[in-house]
Amino acid sequence: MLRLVLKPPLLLLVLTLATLAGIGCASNRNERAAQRGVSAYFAGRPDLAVEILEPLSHEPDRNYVLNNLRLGQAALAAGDLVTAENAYYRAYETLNAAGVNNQARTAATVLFNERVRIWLGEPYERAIANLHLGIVYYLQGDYNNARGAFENALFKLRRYAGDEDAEANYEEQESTFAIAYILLGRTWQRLGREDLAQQNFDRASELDPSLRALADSELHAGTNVLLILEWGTGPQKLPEGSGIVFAAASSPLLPQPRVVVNGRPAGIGELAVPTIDTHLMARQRRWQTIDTYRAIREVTGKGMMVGGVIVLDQGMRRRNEDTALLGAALIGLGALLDASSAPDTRQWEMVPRTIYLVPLSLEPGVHDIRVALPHPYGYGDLVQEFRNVEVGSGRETALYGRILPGHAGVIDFALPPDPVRGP
Amino acid sequence: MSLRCQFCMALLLTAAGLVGGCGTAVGSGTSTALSGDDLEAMADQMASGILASPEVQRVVREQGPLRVVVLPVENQLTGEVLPRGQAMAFTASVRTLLSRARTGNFVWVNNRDTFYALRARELEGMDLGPAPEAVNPEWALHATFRSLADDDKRGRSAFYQAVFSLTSLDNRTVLWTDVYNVKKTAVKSFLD
Repeated sequence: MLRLVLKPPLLLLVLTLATLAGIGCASNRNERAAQRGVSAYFAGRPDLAVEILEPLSHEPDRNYVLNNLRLGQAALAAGDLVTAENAYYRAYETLNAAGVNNQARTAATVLFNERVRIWLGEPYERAIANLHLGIVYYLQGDYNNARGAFENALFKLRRYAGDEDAEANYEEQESTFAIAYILLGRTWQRLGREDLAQQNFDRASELDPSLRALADSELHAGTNVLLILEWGTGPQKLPEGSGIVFAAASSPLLPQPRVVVNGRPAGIGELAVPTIDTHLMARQRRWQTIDTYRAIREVTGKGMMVGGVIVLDQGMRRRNEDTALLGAALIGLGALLDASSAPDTRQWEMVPRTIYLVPLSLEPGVHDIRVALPHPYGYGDLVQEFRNVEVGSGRETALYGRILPGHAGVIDFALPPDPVRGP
Repeated sequence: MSLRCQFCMALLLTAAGLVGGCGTAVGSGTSTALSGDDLEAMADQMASGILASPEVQRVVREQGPLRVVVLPVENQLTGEVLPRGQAMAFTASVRTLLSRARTGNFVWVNNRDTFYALRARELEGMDLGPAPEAVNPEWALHATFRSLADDDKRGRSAFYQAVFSLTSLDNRTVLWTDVYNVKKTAVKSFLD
C-alpha cells in the first residue's frame, strides 16, 4: 500500500490537490470575513461593515481590489469619506495598472482555476468604482480630482469596446453611463470651465435623451445643492454550466424619488430620473475570452476522466501497476480540471442598481431634506433624511445617500460626528 | 503517453498551481502613474534649470538669496487623480530635492498647509524644511501637472507635462519657467 502512495502520478496528484487547497485556505478565511462585512452592510450597518472590511482591505491577495471596493462603498454609506477615499484609491491604483495578474497567475487561471486570478471586476464594476471615487472627491469639494476620476470612469468602459468600429462601440458602452458626463459637466462648472461643462452636458443628452432635462448647463449653474442618491442592488452573477449569467432584476422599472425640503415637496419633476441601470450595464459584458478557456478546461477534464477510466481498466486487465496508477492519476486530474472549470462568480455585491442626481436651489441657511424611494421588494418606502444641512452662499453643498433597507437613513449635520458610526 | 510525460505534465501543472499563489495584487503590474524616479528627474532638471537661468542669477545678485515657497501641485491630469496627501508629499519632496543643491542662493520653504499637514502625519525621513512663519517668502514655485491619457483595449498611455514656474508674490511676474515631459505606456495583458 505504501508503495502505491509513493508512485509519482499519485504523489503528484496529491501534491497538486494540496497546493490548490493551500492556495484557497487563507483566502477562504478572509472571504468569510468579507462576507460578514457585506452582510453587515446589507443589514443597514455600513459602520460595522467598515470595521470588518478595513483590515481585509490591506491584504494584497486576489480579493484586494474587491475588498477595497466593498470597504469604499460601506464607508461612503457610513459617511466616512476619508476611509472611502483611501479604499477607492487603492482599488483605483490597481485597476489602472496593466499586467496585475502576472504570467504565472494567468497560467494558473487558464489551466487550473480562475478564482486564483486577482479580481479586477467587470467593466461596469470598474466604471462604478471610478465614479464613486469621483463622488467622494466631489463631496469633499476637490473638483480637480473628481474630474479626473469621472474621466477615468469613462475610460474603463472604453477599454472593453470592440475592435471593429471603435467609435460606435464607445458610444454603445457610454450610452448606459451618461451620468459620468453629467457629473463631469457639473464639475467643470465648479472649476470655472463653462465651455467644457457644456460639451459634457451635450454629450450626455446625445447619449441618453431621457436625461436631457438633467443635462442642462443652466440648471446646474443655477443650483447650489446636489443630492446623489443610490438605490437598489446591482446585478447578481450566477454560474450557468461553464458560463456566467446575471440574475434578472426584481423589476424592470426604476422608481422616482420623492424629495421634500423643509416639509414641502421639491419641484424636481423630470429631473429625478434614474441615470443608470447596472443590470443593463452588466449585460453588455465583454470580457468573455476566459469563458472559452473555462469551456476547454471542462471538456479536457471530462476527456481525461474518460481516458483515465480506459487506462485504469487496461492496467488492471494486464495487471500492470504503473498503467493502472496512470489511469487513476488521469481520473484525479480530470476531476480536478472539471471541478475547477466552475466560473469565478466573485463580484462587488454592493453596487447600486441606479443613481439619482437631484440638483436643488436652496436659500443660504439650514435645511432639512427628506428623500423617499420604494423598497426594492415592495415593502413600503425607504427614507433618507438629511437634517440641519448648512447651505452657504456661493458654495456647493453635495450630499450622498445610499438608500438601503434596514439602514437608519438619518444624517444630522447638527450632531458631532460619531467616531464609531460616522456622521 | 509515457509515464515520464505524465510525470512532466503533472509537475508543470503543480508548478503552475504553486506559482499561481505567488505575486500580490500590489507587487505586479505596470502603471502609467508618475513615479518617484520621475519626480527626482523632474526636480534635478528644475534645480539645474533655475540655477542656470540668467534672470534668476541677476535677481540673486541684486537681492541676495531668494526665499521661495513651494505651492501645492495643481492637478490638471486627464483621467487621473492626485490625492491631497500624495500631492503634499510630492510638494515636500520637490522642496527637499531642490534644497539638495546647496548653492546658498535659495531658501526653499513648504507652503503652510503642506508643512502642517505633513508635520501632523509625522512622516519619518521627510525633511520639512523651515517653518513657514520663520521665513517670509517673496517668490512662489508653482507646479501644474497636465496629461493626455488614453485607455483602450490595448493598454493605457499617458503623456505628462509638468509646468513649473517661479513667480514673484509681490507683482506676479514670472522669473523662470520650465516644462518636464514624460510619456508612459502600460500594455494590457490577457486578464486585465
